[in-house]
Amino acid sequence: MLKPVSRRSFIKASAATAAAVSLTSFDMQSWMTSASAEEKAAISTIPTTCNGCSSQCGMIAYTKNGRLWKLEGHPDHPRSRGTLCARGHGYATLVYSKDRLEQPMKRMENGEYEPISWEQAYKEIGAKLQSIIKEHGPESVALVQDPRPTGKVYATRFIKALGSPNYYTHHVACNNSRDTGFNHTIGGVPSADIANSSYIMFIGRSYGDGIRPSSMSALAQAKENGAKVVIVDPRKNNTAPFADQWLPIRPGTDLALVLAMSHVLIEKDLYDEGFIEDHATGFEEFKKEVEQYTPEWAEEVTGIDAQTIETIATDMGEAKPKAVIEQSWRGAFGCNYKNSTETGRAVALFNAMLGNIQQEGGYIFGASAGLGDLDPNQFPAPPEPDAVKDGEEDFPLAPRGRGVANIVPLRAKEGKMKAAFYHHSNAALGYGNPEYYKEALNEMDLIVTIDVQMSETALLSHYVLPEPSYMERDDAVDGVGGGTATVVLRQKAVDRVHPNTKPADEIFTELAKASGVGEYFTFTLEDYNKAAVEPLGITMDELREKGSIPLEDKKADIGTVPEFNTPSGKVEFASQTFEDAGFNAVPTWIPPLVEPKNGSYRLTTGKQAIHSHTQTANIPMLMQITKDYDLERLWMNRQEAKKKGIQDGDLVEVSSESASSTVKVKLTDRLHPETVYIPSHYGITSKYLTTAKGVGFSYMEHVPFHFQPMSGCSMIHEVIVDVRKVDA
Amino acid sequence: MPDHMKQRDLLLFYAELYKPPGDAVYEVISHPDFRSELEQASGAALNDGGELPCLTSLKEEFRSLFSRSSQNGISLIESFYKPWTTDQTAALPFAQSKGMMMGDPAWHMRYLLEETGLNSSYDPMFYPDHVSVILELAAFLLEEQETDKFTLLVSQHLNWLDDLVEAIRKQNKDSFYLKLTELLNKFVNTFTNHDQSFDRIKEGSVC
Amino acid sequence: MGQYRMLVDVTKCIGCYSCRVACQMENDLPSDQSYISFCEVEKGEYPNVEWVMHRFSCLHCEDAVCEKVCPQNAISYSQTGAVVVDQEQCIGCEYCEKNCPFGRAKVELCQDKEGNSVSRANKCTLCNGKVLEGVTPACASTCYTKAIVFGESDEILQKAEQRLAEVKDRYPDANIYNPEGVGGTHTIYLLAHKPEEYDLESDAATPASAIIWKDYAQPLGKLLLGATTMAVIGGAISNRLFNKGEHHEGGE
Repeated sequence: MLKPVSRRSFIKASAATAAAVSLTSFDMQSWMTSASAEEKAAISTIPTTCNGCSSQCGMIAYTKNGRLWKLEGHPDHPRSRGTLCARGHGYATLVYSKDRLEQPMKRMENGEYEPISWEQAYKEIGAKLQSIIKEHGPESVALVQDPRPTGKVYATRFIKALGSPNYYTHHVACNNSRDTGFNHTIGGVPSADIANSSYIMFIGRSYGDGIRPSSMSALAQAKENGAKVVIVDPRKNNTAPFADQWLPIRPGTDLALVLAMSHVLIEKDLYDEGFIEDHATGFEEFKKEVEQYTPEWAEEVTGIDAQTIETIATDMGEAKPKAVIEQSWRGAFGCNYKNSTETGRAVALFNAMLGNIQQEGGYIFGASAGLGDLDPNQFPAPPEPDAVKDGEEDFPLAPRGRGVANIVPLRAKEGKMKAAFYHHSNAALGYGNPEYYKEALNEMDLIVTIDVQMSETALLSHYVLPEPSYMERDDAVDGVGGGTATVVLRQKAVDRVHPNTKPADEIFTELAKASGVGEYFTFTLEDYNKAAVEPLGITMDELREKGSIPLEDKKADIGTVPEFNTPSGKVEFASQTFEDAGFNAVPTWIPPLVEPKNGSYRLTTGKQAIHSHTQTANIPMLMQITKDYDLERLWMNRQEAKKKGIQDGDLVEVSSESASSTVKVKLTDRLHPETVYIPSHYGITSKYLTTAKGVGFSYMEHVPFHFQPMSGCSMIHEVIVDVRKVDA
Repeated sequence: MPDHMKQRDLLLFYAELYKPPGDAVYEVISHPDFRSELEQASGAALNDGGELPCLTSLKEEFRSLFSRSSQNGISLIESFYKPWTTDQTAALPFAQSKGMMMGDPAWHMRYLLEETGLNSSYDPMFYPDHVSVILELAAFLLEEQETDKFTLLVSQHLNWLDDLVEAIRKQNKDSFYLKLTELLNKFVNTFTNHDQSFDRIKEGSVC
Repeated sequence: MGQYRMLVDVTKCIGCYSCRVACQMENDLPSDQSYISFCEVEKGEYPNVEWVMHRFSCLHCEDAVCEKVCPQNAISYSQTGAVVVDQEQCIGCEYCEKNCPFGRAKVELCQDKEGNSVSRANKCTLCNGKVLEGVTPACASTCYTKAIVFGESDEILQKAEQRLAEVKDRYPDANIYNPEGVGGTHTIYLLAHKPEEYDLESDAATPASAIIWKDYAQPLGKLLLGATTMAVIGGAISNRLFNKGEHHEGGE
């Protein structure tokens, strides 16, 4: 009677026999001893890629007896070049984190989550999605991700298959302003050839904080070669040991500095006339515009003295073409200020004036790997959706492919966006004001999050679908562009710890089937990967063995100026596209949206070398560093603090129109008096992330939900706060 | 039915009990003879009687106790209760801490399942050292009358039930699962408390 | 000598903590234990401020106090030049910790072979095992700015001199920290400022009492009394003779 009729007993002892195993083997200690005797043989090395940040460096994973042991940088990968940052070493321990998502979950009436089967999840999500599409049309559905190799292939195909154009990426809170500026001037974003440059300026970008190992080694190399390095940043950032000069600029005025430097180049005739003549349009209009932007004018705006501006511009003009303003990522103009897109344009154009494009020590448009794709005859691709991506009409200049992700909550509040998929994305804490996100996402009929941990976004979702971590799964083949393009593969280094997790390729395939569009997902990841490497003349076996393979026949053509990817095919000092969108054809000074006054401060943020967005905050090895050295503190200028009677280590309240936060303060002479600075990785509120919850605060809570007019970015530095000491 | 088959059924019942509850397990529980059969097979008495929960509240009780989606979810996985590994060569910073998945016990269990040929029918949704998997393997060993192997298995892979009992007690001292887990623990202890016989098994069977 | 040295060039450190995490992975350390600690130094006032991050670990003295005071002979010199602890011999008596002139030897809770928590001396080994196999220590191999370099003893000394000359303009007080008083060290530092700025003594040395202890009292004492008894007596001698109190470690 006791024996239940099992629905899914594991053990259906047909061919099984206990006699096959010796009694000794049943004893765990004896078994362990014999297993560890084979230890040497059991060490494996697997070439794969990191997921500690978007650089996705190549790395070699070492395993012992099937367990992760340690990691090293992959010597052939262009971003690691044999070394890894702290995240690269530490983030991999995510595999064994206690706070991983382990099974599909569904939100219940009371807000708690209950585990459900994959079959139920697919079935319910598919049915709901189909009814939403039927009632509101496919344009009421969106998909948002921080793109990773498999996601780039499957998620884009999935949303398109549903008939929706609404695919978005995290760049809205990253570098879309810069890209908008660069795209409409020099037709894309090149990389600075730092190692060979002799005069390098960084604006907001800090190689020492937002680490990419190969970039940091290139800078060290440049310094050894005697390059001059200038950092422009309200904060003397961690690149400082490699900088000769720090310009503590007033936050939000980088545009004025670059415009004035352009003024100097023109006035002193130090720009590359030949380059401008052959490869540029609209230079006369630009010249006329920058006439007014004298170094004296810029001194007023930026706080950097006119003489310094003149000297630096002159020295760069003389060092050209081996002089460069590094292109940056989020830094100071990726998504930070109202004027950030214009800063992007001005920076691109300043480099053009130096004639450094496709020159050693200047801006290099890299070669791309040229991956193959699935044969459309065998595996039909979904048709392009009829509708225009939501947000494109509002922000016609923003990068089309990536879109403006914050349109999703905006439209949700308007009742137009009904369903959203968030894949490897903590949008609700990272892209825009978390309160706004919460209200908006609660309006929607279906939110599905696909992730490895219970993020703030997952907590706003109806369904949460767990992926294996990046150490436990195979991903799609990826190409890394650059001086020499490289083809790379992320592959499984250790067995899946949580058997009930599924990789994105399976999830999207099954979701597509359940949503009635399975006909576009008849291929496997292996089919895609084979097709991807096919034109490269290498096999998947070779790629599996090597992990990263530089493509010697895909090198950047240095010395030859390319045709630019702009309407005119040239560098556009004046842009008709900008004018058509209702902006000035040439870059023009725009002041920041808000200004601190009467003892208030601009809240600025930036990265730390040990964390990536909010995704690494829950890793004990990395968070322990934060705890050991109080890295979650708010930075404040020492003299300013004195005025307010604040001492190092005091607890302070930071309050803005949007929020109020309490945190310890770090007093420093490394910070402009007009700003207070908070690292961007903290303020986790999800109770499921037990290591990270409650450490520090999130700057995003203070950022109003707003859009940069040209690029749709989050304008994360347009925030004024008051700081006061809290009595203990 | 011989004793060992009764004990096998007892273990299969428990294996089912620690999976999300459905009709099958509820049918067993609600049978009028349930208590007496349970006590007879396990050779121990159930702590006080009390009312049986209905299926819905049983499901809710299971979810609130064992689901990782509830904040304090109690783990039903052996690795969680033991040092992750005793392998001195494992060079991860938490190598000897508790609370991690896929520790030594999981690898050992996986090995045993593979070697006995049971892995093909083992549901990939479950961890190899999930209590239900261990119980089903134990039941299989009883069925095959592999008493020595059975004793080794339960004494090494179910010696964490004290911790499980405590964890349940801490969350809900009136839980139906508490009473049943206590009983299972008593049953298992009858095999593990006889150190002498355990040593004898080991000595006698070095191969 | 055929030995090795490590140079930590603090003027090249960006404070990325990669060395700490690589070291923890390599040496099986829990998250909250590290052989490497950091302190940062800010000199000057806004905006004329210089910032230096100092990464600090065991110096591996040529004439190591810890080796001399260890009643268990658990500390020894490796052929690589590293000063290494044999944790199986260590009894956690803390002499090394109390007597290290640099506050680097630490006694911490470690796991023994049976998985028990025990107090053991725990410090940088200069990745002795790796180096013996011809592999660079984990911290040096992951340092992309080359703030940590590892190599043949003499080459590293030369490299240090060369770097010193290069940074003198920017850091007039720069110096190579390789204290003579302990016979020189196998981890040497290029410091940007005077050693005191980093809580280091310019004239750190092996106390005479430690030499006496090691070379006379200890061998005799051990012979007569056995190691464990000596550990108790040694504690009294050691503490009375040359305990300098808590050596506080630079935090950030």
